[in-house]
This record gives sequence, structure tokens and C-alpha cells, in this order.
Amino acid sequence: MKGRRVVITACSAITPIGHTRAEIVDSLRRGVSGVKPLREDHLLSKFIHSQVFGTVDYPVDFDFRRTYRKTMGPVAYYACQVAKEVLAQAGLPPEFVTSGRLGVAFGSTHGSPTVQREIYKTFFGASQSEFRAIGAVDYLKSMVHTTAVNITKMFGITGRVISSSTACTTSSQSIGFGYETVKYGMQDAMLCGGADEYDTTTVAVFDNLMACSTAFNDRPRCTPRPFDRQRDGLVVGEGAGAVLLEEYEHARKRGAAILGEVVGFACNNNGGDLSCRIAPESAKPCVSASRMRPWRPMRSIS
Amino acid sequence: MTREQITLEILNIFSREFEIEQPGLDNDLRETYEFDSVDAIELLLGIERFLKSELTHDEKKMAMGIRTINQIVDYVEGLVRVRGREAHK
Repeated sequence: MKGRRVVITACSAITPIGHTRAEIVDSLRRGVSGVKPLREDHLLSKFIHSQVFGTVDYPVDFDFRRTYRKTMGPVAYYACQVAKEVLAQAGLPPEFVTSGRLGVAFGSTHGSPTVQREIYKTFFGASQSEFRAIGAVDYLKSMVHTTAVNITKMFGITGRVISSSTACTTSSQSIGFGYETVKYGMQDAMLCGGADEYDTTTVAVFDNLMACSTAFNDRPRCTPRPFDRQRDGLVVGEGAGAVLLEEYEHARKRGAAILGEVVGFACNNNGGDLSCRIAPESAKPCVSASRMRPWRPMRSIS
Repeated sequence: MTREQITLEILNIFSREFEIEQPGLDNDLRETYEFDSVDAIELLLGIERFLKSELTHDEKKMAMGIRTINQIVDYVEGLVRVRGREAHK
């Protein structure tokens, strides 16, 4: 099945190295790092070997009405802000946004661990009256798909909802599955991306798997270092990123600015080791399956 | 407990929990203030704290059709009456 062309017509991100495109590009050019020392949380931080975190240390003006804020933990704030910026940038007509032809593919590592901690504190607390204090909104704020659902709620989006929760691959899967949804005609546009909030729980779980960087705790700006001989693991971070994927003819007809084109996607698994860092036997077939042939000869990918 | 006391507490809950100040007592809460089903469940929690008494499942179901502040006050008055009768048995 050939499928339709899918283009990118808006993007936004809140990152440890900046919020706007100008800030992010400037930081990249100047080699600015957003990795900072892990903040003391008086709970897990003293047990974690990795003492670094990709930190958003500037204020973000969320300005959300209470009717939206009430179901949002920190991760959903990030998600809704980048979604808001993407929709504003894309300039889609309001009637299209709510028409059912726009869907959402958005996720996070595990929803809001900040809210989950409060719920579990109540669960394991001694008082039954405290147990009844868990509110209706606590689950909505904490749940794994809180980012996608809050985005649909805030903007009245009624199309497909895909909420990947696959840790480091969440956002790329969101974009890939969103791409396929548009390519094969299930939707004409998809708002895709991912978000995560600041929380030491996430660092702790990867630290226990020995997947985190630990050799640069005294020099946070020197890690992570992908492709480097001295690379020693991942660094957990907070923030969000979103793109609007749109069917090419739909974008062209309405005169949308086209920022790029998604030409292929594939997803597979090594079917085995869950913390294996390198799986070349899985990577090459995945690239082949993405059908990027018109753009790069397969033999050039090693 | 008087109707005025109940009304005052309900208005306090709306101000504190929902950031809705001085709502009209007969305004449709959904139409005027986007008060939705999630807010209704939070309101019931606030009423339980106020009465220091857990609502039964049937009492919660009875609340689902409520649309105005005056209807909420009527509902809470009913709960107070039931609890007063129970206390005197």
C-alpha cells in the first residue's frame, strides 16, 4: 500500500536548553548543556548513583483555565503547552480541530510520578479517612495517558488517540504511529509528541537497570555523550516536544508552511534482553522496514 | 444546621475548590461555569468532609442530576435530615 505523503506543519518544544526555536538552536550552536545536578528530594536521590538530570530551569507561562488545570499533573502541563503552541503555529481552522479528522499521538514514560507518589502515600497511610481523600481527579492527573487525554480535552480534539508509553522511545513512536495514521488515511492530521516531568523515580528505575550515566556527576554538562568512546549511559530529563503531522495535499491546499516531510517509520524489538544497549541485529532490519529507500541506499547504513 | 449555614459552606467549597466566586444560586452550573462530572465527584467529597459523614452509593447517585447551587443546598439539607433521624434512633 503506497499511502499518502505526510508533512510537518508545526513544531514546539520545552527543553533543558530552551523553549523557542531560536533559543534551542542557539544553545545547540554554542554547545550549551541543560544537564544539571540532581536536586535533593529527601527520598530517593541519596540512593541513586546517577546524580544528573536534564532540567528545565526557566519559568514557563502556562496560563491555563482551572477547568483544564484540574486534571493536569506537571507532565500534562508540559504536554498541553507544546500542543497549544503547535496548534497556534499550524493555524488549523477551529472547525477542523474538533472535526474528528485530527487525532493525537502523545505519551510519557509513566504519566505523572509526582501525583502517583501522593496517591501511594495515601494508600499506604494508616488512616482510612485519608484513603477517602483520594480525589476523582487524582487518577486523571496521574494516569499513563494523561498527556494525550488532557490535550484532547483542552482543544476539543475528537479523532484517534494513541498514547505510547515506552520510555525513551515514546515520542518517536508517537510520531511514527501518527505518521502511519495519516499516511493510510485514518486521519488527515495528527498532533504527535511526548513529555516528562522532573521526578527522581524515573532516574531511580533506570539507575537500577544500570542504564544511567554515573561517570560525570561532577561535570553534568559532559553527559550524555552519544556516539562518544566515553559514553556511559543515559540522562533522564524533563520537558516536552510536539509536531503537527498533516496530509500533504491538505497542508498544500490551505497554504500551510511545510517544515519537513516524514518519509518512513518502522518499529521492532530485539525480542529478548530488556536493557540491552546495543542491538545491531534489530537496528538494520528496522531501518530497512522503514522504506527510506528513495532517500538513502540501504548499503550506506551500517 | 440551618439552610444559611449550608449555603455558606457550599459557596466556600465553590470558591476554594473550583475557583468559582459567588455563583448565582439558580444558575445552571454546567452551562454557566463548565462544572462537569469530575467537579461533581469532587463536590461530593467536599460535602462528606463538611458533614463528617460518608455518603452512601445511592446518595451519590441522587446527586448526579443536580444543576444549581440551590439544588445542592436542598440535597445537603436532605442528607442532614437523614443523619439527624439516624442519630435519634
